[in-house]
Order: sequence, then structure tokens, then C-alpha cells
Amino acid sequence: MTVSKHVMAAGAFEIRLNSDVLPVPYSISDAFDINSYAFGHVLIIPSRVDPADFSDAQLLSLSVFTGIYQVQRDRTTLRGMHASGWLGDGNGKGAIEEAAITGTSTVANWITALRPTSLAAGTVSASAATLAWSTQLKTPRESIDYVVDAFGMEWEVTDQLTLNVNTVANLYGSTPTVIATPWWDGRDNELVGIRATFGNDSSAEDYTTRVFLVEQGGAPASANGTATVFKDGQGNAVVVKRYVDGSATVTAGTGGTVAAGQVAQWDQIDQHLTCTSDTFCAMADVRCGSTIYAYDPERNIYDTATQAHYGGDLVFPKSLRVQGIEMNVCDGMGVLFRDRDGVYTDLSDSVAWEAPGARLEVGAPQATLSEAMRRRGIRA
Amino acid sequence: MGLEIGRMRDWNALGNIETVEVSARTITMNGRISIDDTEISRAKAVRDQIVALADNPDELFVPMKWDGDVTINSVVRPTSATATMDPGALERGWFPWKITADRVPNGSQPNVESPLIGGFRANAAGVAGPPGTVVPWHAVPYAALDYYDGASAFQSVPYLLESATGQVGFYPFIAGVGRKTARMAIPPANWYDGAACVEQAYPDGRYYTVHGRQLYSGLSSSGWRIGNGIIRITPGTGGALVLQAWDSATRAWGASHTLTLSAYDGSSPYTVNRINSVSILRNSPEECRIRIGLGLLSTGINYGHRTMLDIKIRRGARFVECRWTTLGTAMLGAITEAASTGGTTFTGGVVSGGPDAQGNLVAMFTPTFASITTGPIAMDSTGVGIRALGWSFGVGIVLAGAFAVNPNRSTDLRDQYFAPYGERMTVVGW
Repeated sequence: MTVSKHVMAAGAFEIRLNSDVLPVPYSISDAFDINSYAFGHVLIIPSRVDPADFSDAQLLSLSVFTGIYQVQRDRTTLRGMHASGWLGDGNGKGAIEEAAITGTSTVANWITALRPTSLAAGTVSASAATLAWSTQLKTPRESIDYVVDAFGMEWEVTDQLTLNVNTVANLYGSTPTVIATPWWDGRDNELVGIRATFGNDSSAEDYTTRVFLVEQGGAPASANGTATVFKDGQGNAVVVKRYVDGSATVTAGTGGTVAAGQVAQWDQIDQHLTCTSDTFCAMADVRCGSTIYAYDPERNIYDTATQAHYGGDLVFPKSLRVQGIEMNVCDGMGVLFRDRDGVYTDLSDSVAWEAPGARLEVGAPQATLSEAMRRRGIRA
Repeated sequence: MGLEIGRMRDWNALGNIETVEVSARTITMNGRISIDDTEISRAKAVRDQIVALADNPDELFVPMKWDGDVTINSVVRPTSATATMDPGALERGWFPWKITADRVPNGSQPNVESPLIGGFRANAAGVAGPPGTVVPWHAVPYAALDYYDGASAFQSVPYLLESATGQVGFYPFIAGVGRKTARMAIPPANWYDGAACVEQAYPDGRYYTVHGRQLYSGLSSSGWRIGNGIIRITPGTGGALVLQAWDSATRAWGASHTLTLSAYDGSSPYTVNRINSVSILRNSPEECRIRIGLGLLSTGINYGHRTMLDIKIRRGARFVECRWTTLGTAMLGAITEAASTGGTTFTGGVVSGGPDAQGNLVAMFTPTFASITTGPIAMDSTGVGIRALGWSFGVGIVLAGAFAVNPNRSTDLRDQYFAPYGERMTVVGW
């Protein structure tokens, strides 16, 4: 029974109500009967609150996870996806734009045109750069993905049901406020410490020495990565080239820059860390998408180029982006259901709690060698 | 028959050993604390030291020495340590105890690895490095054998430092920022030579070395000491800290140097006038860290605002590394050595002018901008534009003062302060 969020993707949740001794009262389950209240919202709040004492806006502002209710199982289990699903789900469904949206506009104007009415306007970059583009029959997420890529930005659907678009630094800040480490010494005045154990997977599966592509108009372009230190079985420097199809998207004359940017992503070993913590409410301390410090020298998780003060020591942690958070819902939190009319029902007395715990995906998204690839040599 | 295990050097306290069971992998010892029944505080201190042997991540391995059979003396890994509080124990201090430990292969002279991470403290003071001014260093018991610092082409002879608890070998190395793994063999008898340690005062007024991070309930917030046998910090009166150096000639602690702390938030000046709390963050022979809560006074009012001072000391250091932090309002901080006069400034720090009774001087360092004054010596970072929520500084003793030689001169200490390392020593067997 967890809730999860991911950067620029839909998370998920499952809330199970307890029927150990006494059945879950119908007065509670009727309030989220899916036949009447599908697409209501589930809010996770890091403490118990009485919804009658707060306004709708206040409760949303307290939420560390807001989900869209989609599945009811056995009357007492609620499932769904994170509010970012309002941009469109993984199956390509959503508030698809039926009419073409065309123009040469700033990111703010594009987002205004593409944002679905299910989400309120958040903070959007005031960049003066423009994009000439046209979109039709795409979900908002598909269109916004393209727009933010073009501007070098990201989108974020907040738990307050707003849509933010900006650079990573402007969305999440650039100075970490959290350190995850097994050498936990509690909360400092300067950094919030969360006790964590790390898994460290490093992969060369996507390692690339050279990228070449064809830009619009058919002109070729290429770029080499940093000189490789790896060798093949014959003693030669390994050759792993990657072809990128830019014929539809890469503006003529910019292919070299795009290729250089691509190869820079892949010319090193990809380190992917999973971070497991027993902290009470990770989503209250760590914002999905933000950068945190990770420090576990015994697992080679450190960076001598980065300094931070923690626990009375000068430590040398890695700065890593949190790509996703999966969190257990545990006793002490508040679980609220918000129906279609904005009426709240407090589910907290009936929730089957779990022990405190969270898993953070940090670093670059991992490319794992799938079973299918091992068997057939192709990615599943 | 007496027993010494871990930091417990009270040979008599563990003299009453009833049984010792030995297998190839483990050793289990049962006994009773044997202490004069007028010394109940001492008995409780020893009890607290015993039970902290196990489940102590800061010291997984400890030396054990038993005069009943010296052939089994070695480094061990305690897995269980208990004491029973029966009426006889509580009234007379004769606590029954039991210690179970894994025997370490080759534990009679175990090989040790010590990963060192760091090498440079970013600073605005203009201290360059590496490979510029700063001097990364590592200190181990001088009796350590087969040493390699993980960086040098050929290992030089270490500097010899005298401490209250044995001789220390001090190895400087200039190799830039990074991670090095030092290796050595340490005889168990020399395990704690020059070790960093924290002590706490029990109701009998005596100080006992702390095992682990557990301070006893009722400990005064000023009833502690942190040191490494070369220097030590103790709480002074009125929230001050007292810095002393070990005088190996007289085998006693030398002159007391009173350090006062103050702050300024832009509208009111504050002085630290009390120590509210103390806790241990790390307690290993190679490094100890404590955190104390400091109380602020301004215009006769004791403020409860939270400011915490972390104090770190490493084996072989002749300075402590401090980080003073607060929340909310940028205000930190300033430090003054009250009695000194006629100091001299240098890049990143200041040293006092007049030697103390042992001929030593006091030096201070900071990586942040600070107004540095010389009479008395002080560093103040509370000026407009540089007030902060966290402020780092170091305070140390220049042994032999104006006659100091490498690695003890004030600028040597500065160079070492600006090349900090975090270290976790572990036994690897061979």
C-alpha cells in the first residue's frame, strides 16, 4: 500500500482500508463509491487533520500526494494515479486536443494553450524564446512533453493540482536541503537527514562513443564522446555508435550541437541508485524532482567535488536528482477523499497502515538489461 | 585476574572474572564488577561502558587484554554485552556482567584499513589547494606497523606526537582531493594511543571515557570533555569553552585558554552564556564529534533560540574543527580567546602573541570571510553581508609557540585544518 510520484510521469497509489476486526463502515465507503465518485481525489497529509477545520485550498496545500481515484476493489481498496495523470495517462487517453493548435509562441503561451482545465495555472517560465509548432490529436502530456523539451525545461503537476513549467533549477532549486545517508545523525540545522540504505547499479548498456544523426533536410551530423578507456577483446578501443533520427525534429544547421548533447549523455557509465529509507514521510521532506545529497562512501557514493556540512562533519556527498519517490502510508498520516463536489471524507481511522518507509530513485533513469534482451539480444 | 576491553582501562574493575568460554569463533566472559562498595558511581560508569560495547557502529572492533591467559589477547568484535541490575549490584556496585565477542582472525596484530575522503575545505579566505597550500594528513598510533597512506610513492617516516595516552605517528601527504585507503597493522595494546575520545563526569566527579553514544541520564550539560590526548575541550563557566594542551614534560594538562562565542543578528549582539545540552554524534578512536546546544544572552535576557555547536577532533589533531549553526536568522558568529594579546594574522587565521605557561600559542582559522583581530585574538563573521546560518572555524594549540617546527606551526595547523578528512577505520584481518 504505497503512493508514488515520478518526474514528468504519472505516479500511482493504492489505499487499503482495514477490515481486520470491524468492517469498514458503509458511511465511509459510500463516500467513495466509484459509481458516483470516480475521478475524485485522494490526499495524503503528513499528519492527522480534521477536514472540517480547513478550506479546500488549505487541505490541498497540506497534501504531499494527491491522486486521481480510478479503481475500487472489494469496496475497501482505492487505486489510481497521481494527479499528473490529468495531463494524459500512459495509454494515450486524456483531454486530447481535437483542433489544431498552431503558432510561434513563448513557453508561457504554449502552456496556456495546452493546459487542460483539470489543472490550474502554476508558475511558468517567462522565457522570451519562441517555438514554431503545430499540434493536434495529442494528449496534453504528449504536447507539453514536446514543448518543454524544445525549451530545455520540465513540467510538474503539483499536489495542489497546478501545472508548473520551468527549468529544473527554477522548478526545484539547485541547493539540496536533504541528505540521505546510512550514517544518519538526525535533522541538522542546515540539512534534513534521512536514514537510508543504498543500492548501487552501474550500467554500460547505453554507453556510446559516437552519435550521428540526420537533421531536417537530410544533412548528416555527428559528435564523438570523451575518449574511451574501455577495450574490446582484441585490445581495441570499444566502438559503440548510436544513430539518432533527427530528420523530423532537428532544425537544419543544429545537428552538430544536438549530436554533441546526445553523446554527452551516454559517454560514461550510467550509475543508478536506489535509496531505501525508514523516514516517516519522505514526500514531506523530499520533493520529487529536486536534488538531494547522497552519501555512503562504503558503496562508492560520494563526490569529492561537492562539500556539505552534516552531523558536525564536512562530508563529500553526491548531488543527485530524485527521479521518483515511492512511500508507504503509515500511521500518523492523514488520508482524505475529496469527492466531485469538493466534499472531504477522512479515511484515516480505517486505513490499514504500513510501517514507515520510502524508496527514492536517484540519479539518472536506469537502463536495465531486460530478460528479453538477454535472451534475444533486443530490448523488450 | 583483570580484563581490559575497549576503552575500559580500569584493570581492577573487571578483575572478578568467573568464567571464560572460548571457541574457535567466539569468546564469552562472565564476571562481576569488583569495586569498593563506596564507589557506586564508578561501578555504574563501568557498567555503562560494558553494555555499550555491543551494537556500537562507531567501534565494531575493540582490543581485549586478559591477564588470565595472555595468549588469547587480541582484537575482538563484541556481539553481546549485558549487565544485571540486582539488589547487590545497585547497592554495592557489584554488577554481574557478560560479554560475548567474535574472535578476529589474526586479531593479535590485525591489519586495518582506513578510507579517507576529503582533502580540501572550500574557503573564501584565500587558502589555495590542492595541490597548493593545504596539507592532508593522517595520524595513527606511532606503534602501527606496515603503514601506507594510500597516496605516497614511498612512505616517509611519520612525525612523532606525544599524547596523554601514547605516541602518535603523523603523516602529511599532498595528493589533492580524493579518496585514499590507508593501511596498517595496529598492535592491540596501542589501539587507543592518541585516540579521540569523549568523557563524561559521573556524580562522583570523576570523568569516564564514553563507549558508544549513550550519555547517562542526569549528566550535566557541562559534565563532558572531548579530546585526543594532545588537546582537549572542556566547558568553562558562563558558556565558554576551555582549550588545553597536554604537556608531555610534566605529564599534565597545560594552561587553560578560555574561548567565548558571540553572535549578531543585525540588530542585537548576543553572547553565549550557557551550554544547554550535549550529545555524541560520533565516537571512534580515529574521530569524535559532539554537538552542544548554546544559549544566547542579550540585554540581560536568556533567549531560547536554537544554536548548535558541533565539535570534531581527530586522532593526532592539534586543533578542533567546529561548525556553529542556527535557524531562521543569519547571525553567526564570533570567537575570542579572552586573555591573549598581540596576535598575528595570516591568511585564513590568527595566532596569539604571548606564550602560555608551557610556551604554547592559540591559533584560530575560518574558511569564511571574517574580521580578524589580534588583541585579544578573535574572529568575527557577523558583519553586514557575511552573517550566516552556519559558520565553520577551527581552534588549536601551537605546541612550542614561537619555536614550533613543522608540523606544529600555526600555518601548519591552518594548512591541516583546510584539508579535512572523514575517516572510518575497520579491521580487515590481514
